[in-house]
Amino acid sequence: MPELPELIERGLNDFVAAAKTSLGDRLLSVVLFGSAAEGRMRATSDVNLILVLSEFRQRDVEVLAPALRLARAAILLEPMFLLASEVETAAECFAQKFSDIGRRRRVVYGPDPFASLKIPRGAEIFRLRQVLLNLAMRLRESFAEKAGREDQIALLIADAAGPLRTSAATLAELETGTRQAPKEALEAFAASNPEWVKAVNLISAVREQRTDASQPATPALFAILEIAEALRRRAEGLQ
Amino acid sequence: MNPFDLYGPQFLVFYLVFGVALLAGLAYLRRSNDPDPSTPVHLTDPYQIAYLRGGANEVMRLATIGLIDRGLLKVNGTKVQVSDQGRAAPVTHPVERAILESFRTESQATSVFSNAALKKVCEPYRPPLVDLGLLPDDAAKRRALVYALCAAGILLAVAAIKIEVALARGRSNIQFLIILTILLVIFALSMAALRRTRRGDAFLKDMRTLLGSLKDRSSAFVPRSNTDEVLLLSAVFGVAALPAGAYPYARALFPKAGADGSSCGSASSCGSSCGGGGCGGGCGGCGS
Repeated sequence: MPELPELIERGLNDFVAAAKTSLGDRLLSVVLFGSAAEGRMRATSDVNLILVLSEFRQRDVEVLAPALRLARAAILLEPMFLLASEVETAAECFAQKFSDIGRRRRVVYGPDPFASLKIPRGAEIFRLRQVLLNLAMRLRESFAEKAGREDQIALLIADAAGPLRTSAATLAELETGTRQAPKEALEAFAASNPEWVKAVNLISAVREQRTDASQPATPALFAILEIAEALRRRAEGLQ
Repeated sequence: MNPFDLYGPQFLVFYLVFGVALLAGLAYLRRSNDPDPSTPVHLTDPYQIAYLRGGANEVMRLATIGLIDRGLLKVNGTKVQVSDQGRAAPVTHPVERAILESFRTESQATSVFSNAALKKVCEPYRPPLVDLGLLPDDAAKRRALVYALCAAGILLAVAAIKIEVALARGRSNIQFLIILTILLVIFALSMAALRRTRRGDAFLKDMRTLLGSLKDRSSAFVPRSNTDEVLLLSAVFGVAALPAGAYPYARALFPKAGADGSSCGSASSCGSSCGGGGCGGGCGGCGS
């Protein structure tokens, strides 16, 4: 199990303890997912958490709210409150996200609610295409707004990293049946094109805040657009 | 060897060493009954954390800043008044409601510190902090006062005996001894006030570590979008920690908070220099 940075672990434990107290037996499971579950956190990473509940009660959550505010401020905690009865529907509606959760998760409390979760292949393909198309459209719109401002375009690249990497991992799994970490899946997909490789490297650099001002972001953004379009074309070929 | 037979400079050295040892003993004794500081404590309410750090004044300062950020109070220079939105807002938190009430008409922001009714609204924060061992109870405060008075008395008595001996032997160079005595007695008396326990100090230190990254991110705060973060940051580090660009009014309204925030190095320095709630708007401003 990958270790979390000490402060993150502490903030997470405090929040989970507060959740157990305030939600009582309505709290069924707590699952960490995303980069924290994978042990690949950066200074700016969110801590993504799913709280699976049997019931969402006003009073419970009012009691939990101060602990959530503190955890959000201290460790950038982003909780998702999901009812147990919603798990399957959520997995179908947000197949891409739940496919990622299937790959990268750590159960912090209770039984694993996703252990036997089967995401319908059709839903996953549909959602993958939707995510990639949405990403491409958002990137085009954002570029139209921010053209000429390399610093802001670098931030767009950082924002695109999450959906792009997850999409690459989902596509690899749908095509080959093997699970890959999202970062490695994107690197593997981009390996065939030197411009794409450069863009993928820039994504990592921007996310780790180690870019230099002389590095142009715009060509990388267009390479990322190409990658998103190429991923979507491959997704459209899936049965 | 009788120390009172020592010559002037030698006695001064003896007296200084004696005084420092006595103050060190006092510093140890006044907190010897403190609860174990390593026991973990979980506080999440920014107002409660603010009370621990700076008493009722800090809670009022925090609530005022939070209400401004929410648009329920408006700022005009160093004055504050409830906004139209604030008049209509269904605010239920007792401290926030009392602050809004106190700014029905435009007033200096610092006027909250002299508002007895507001202080009373903040007082319910104290008992739970005492129960958690973060603030000293009355017995501990009394003990600290008695120890400090005893130390001051011993210092004065030793100095008085030496002065009497010196005068009896026809010497009059006692000015340095008087100055040193005054300084040591001031130090001893300043240790009479016990603001927090060691557990309280340890908790605040822990919170500063936990929210260190929040402080680093604070330059990206956007007014009216980060009220929770503003409250937590200010509760733990003081309102002086808010970025001046986004929250210029924080220092303008509470200039003492800004000054104290930068000059107070530690929680204990704030606690020892301010009495038990008797220092107006000053103590609560110790930002770190």
